Amino acid sequence: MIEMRRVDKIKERIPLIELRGITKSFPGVVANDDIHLTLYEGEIHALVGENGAGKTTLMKILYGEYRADKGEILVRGKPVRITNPSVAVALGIGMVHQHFMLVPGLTVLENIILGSEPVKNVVLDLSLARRKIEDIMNANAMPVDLDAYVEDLPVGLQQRVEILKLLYRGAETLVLDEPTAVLTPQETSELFKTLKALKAQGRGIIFISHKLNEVLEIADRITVIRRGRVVGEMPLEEASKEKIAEMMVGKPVVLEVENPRVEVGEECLVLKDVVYEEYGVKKLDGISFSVHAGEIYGVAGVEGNGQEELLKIVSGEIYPSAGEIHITNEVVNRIPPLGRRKLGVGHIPADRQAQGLFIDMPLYINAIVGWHWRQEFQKRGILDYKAMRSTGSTIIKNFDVRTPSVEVPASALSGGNQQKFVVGREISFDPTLLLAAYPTRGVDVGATEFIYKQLIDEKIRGKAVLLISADLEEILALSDRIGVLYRGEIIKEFSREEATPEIIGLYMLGVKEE
Amino acid sequence: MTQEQVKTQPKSMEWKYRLIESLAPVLGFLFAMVIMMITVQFIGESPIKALSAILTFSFSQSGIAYIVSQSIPLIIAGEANAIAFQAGVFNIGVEGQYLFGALCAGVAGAYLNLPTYIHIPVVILAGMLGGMIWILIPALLKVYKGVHEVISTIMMNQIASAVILYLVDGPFNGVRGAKQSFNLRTPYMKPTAVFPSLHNIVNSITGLFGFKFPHYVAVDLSWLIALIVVVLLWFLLFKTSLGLRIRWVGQNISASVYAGVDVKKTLLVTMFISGAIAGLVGLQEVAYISKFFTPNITRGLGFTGLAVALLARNNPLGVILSGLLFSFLSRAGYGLQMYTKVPNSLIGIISGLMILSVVVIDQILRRYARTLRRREVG
Repeated sequence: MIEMRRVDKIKERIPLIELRGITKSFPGVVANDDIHLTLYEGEIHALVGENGAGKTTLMKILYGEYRADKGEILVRGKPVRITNPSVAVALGIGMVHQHFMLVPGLTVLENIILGSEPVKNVVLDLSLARRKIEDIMNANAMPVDLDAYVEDLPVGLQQRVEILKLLYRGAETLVLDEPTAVLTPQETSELFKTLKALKAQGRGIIFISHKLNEVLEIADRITVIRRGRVVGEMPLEEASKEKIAEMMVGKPVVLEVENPRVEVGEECLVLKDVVYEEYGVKKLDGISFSVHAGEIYGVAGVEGNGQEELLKIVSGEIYPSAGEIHITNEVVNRIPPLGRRKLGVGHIPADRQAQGLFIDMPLYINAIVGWHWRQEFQKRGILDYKAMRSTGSTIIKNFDVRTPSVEVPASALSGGNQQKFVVGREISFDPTLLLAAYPTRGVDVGATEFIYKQLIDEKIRGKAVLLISADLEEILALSDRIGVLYRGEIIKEFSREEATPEIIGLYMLGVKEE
Repeated sequence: MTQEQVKTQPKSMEWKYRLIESLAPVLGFLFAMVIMMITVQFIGESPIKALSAILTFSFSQSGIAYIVSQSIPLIIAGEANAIAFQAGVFNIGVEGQYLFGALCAGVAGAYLNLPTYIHIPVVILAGMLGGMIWILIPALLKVYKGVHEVISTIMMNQIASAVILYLVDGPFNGVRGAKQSFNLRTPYMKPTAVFPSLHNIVNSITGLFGFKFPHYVAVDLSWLIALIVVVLLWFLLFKTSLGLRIRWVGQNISASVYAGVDVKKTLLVTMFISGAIAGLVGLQEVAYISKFFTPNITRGLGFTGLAVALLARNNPLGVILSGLLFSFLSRAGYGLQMYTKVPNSLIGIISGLMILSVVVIDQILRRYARTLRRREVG
């Protein structure tokens, strides 16, 4: 009888935060689709998913930076309308962003009180603030020198300042967006100590990550999000790395695309022991692989394992510290992007808005970005607008871009149509080697399928395609060969036949490492 | 284009959105004028009287002639700023660049002995070269060391003030023994270097509309220079491949890198063009009006040029209108001062207010047009 009542009590416990049916869409893509999430006092709830899955969007809705289209937020059982971050702070919700929001030139003390400065008779009362913060630091064993300048602190301490800032404002719910991404292992374990102490005080913590070891170490409950939907929620006891990994990357072949193998030709892209070092850190550590004409080579991997650098080193935005890169039999180590494009490199960039398009310029100008040097667009340095317009119109027609005309700025298009335009442009100029980075990120299902078909057609036409994606499903649907990128290395290569999502997922997470 | 495609792609309302987007300067001007009239009322003067003072003083024959003539350096300064802005560069240093350029032109005109058909081009080139020299350090610092041009060009402005004073007091002093700074100047330019008057040519054209520029208003070679600068710049920005790359770099550097644009080179080229144009700003005064260079040359044209470019939204053709407008405003200020008890400085406030409201209204209209476009795309 007593047992029963205790169970009932737990069931009735009012959650600190409850999200009900949160839906949020951006032009052309649903970022959050009917998401439910609860957080109790004294709980660490991990939110897991690939980049672009919708974790950050969800948390920005909770923190009042975005407004949800549908759904409601309850704080301690009461429905609330969080219209901006200061409302969230007043409700006891605090957030540590992936990129810290600190003022480097101010001291720790000044940073912590910034925005809620204690005032005594119009004058700033620093000593009161100092005492209050010292109490918080002592209670949680989080010492920081209050008079140090933030710019002089290591990243781990800067993060501690961020957390202190939340505690100073009386946050009961702490949202940490990928807090360990920037930390060393030692700093991470320090952070975890702090989080456990905060949990013991009855605060609730939402911990966003895609590092599964850490999630399993720190979380009490785990929610997995994929493509804007909750695909699973489980207590720690039921969770395992394999299970989460499978949920994160999903079961293969949701989209039915026909992807025949064709006879491969010569090597169009060869990397030999390529190393890229930045500030003494090897971002790429001895990468070797090759892509042949008539095949799609997929690079799988959790984001942040060197994808960005790999892409830049192939496109020419950065040069290798060691090793060799060949494109169509030419060594291109020190050839800049323009020179590589002239060798026939097409490039679907990772971020269409920031890189692939000049968002305020009309489509006929965006139609030649990256290909502006070609003869047909200029005669003795003078632009041929007629040719530009006709190229733009051709892309719009052939790639089913929904737009009233070629005259409108790129910003007028939805995300999916922008992406179709970029993909169309890069394919239209008949590249020998096509770099496709996250080609369907933030794109709806219809456009995704269309883009898949285009990439496969390129392969059938005898082009070499290098595909980089965080979406394993995409990699498996498109690639003829797959390399797994982990900590700047291709740790394993598979042919399409031997690849299964389970085994690739394990390599991606570094679980299977020889 | 096939029949079917014509059907599926209805005629766009794009021209309408463009029109909406381009209304900002007009609305900003009207807004500032309304505020000015309200302020005049508060000062205790009749807005109607103020308006009529402005109109009669500005739109008399000599008023119009002065407005047009004095817009020339403003237009050139506006173009120097506009090209820099197009590449995303804030060339606050037009001020220093034209001071140094004007000095170089004055020196070239005074010390060289050349036949006139060579001497005048040499004077013009000396001005451009001076402007380029003065932007050299900020340009190199920006491109290779990441030093922000706002800081470095402001410093170069200060240095320019001091350097021209030293040079005119020292090696290029035209009046030995004259130690008071208001007397300092370079020697007179040789007659071969002085800009020819264009009164006859210009008046033969404007005469067709019944308007003549009086002889005491500067109508000289710098008019032609301004015209050439406007046309060349417009052509460069909107018709050439280099211009497209300049605008790309101004809009989005990482997209430019993606597209294969050599961003550093493009920035350097743009800044040198801007400096060269800036070097032409002072030529009307030096090579036509006073015929020597003095540290007391009109100052502040570079900063007004910033406002001229902003109001024109960095469009080289728009700069003509915007330059004329600012020239009109300064004339209007004198008119107010002369005929009413409204202080001249009110015009300064109104100019600032106008820029501010244009920037704000511009953003609002752009967003409005974007919403309309999105609605049309569906």
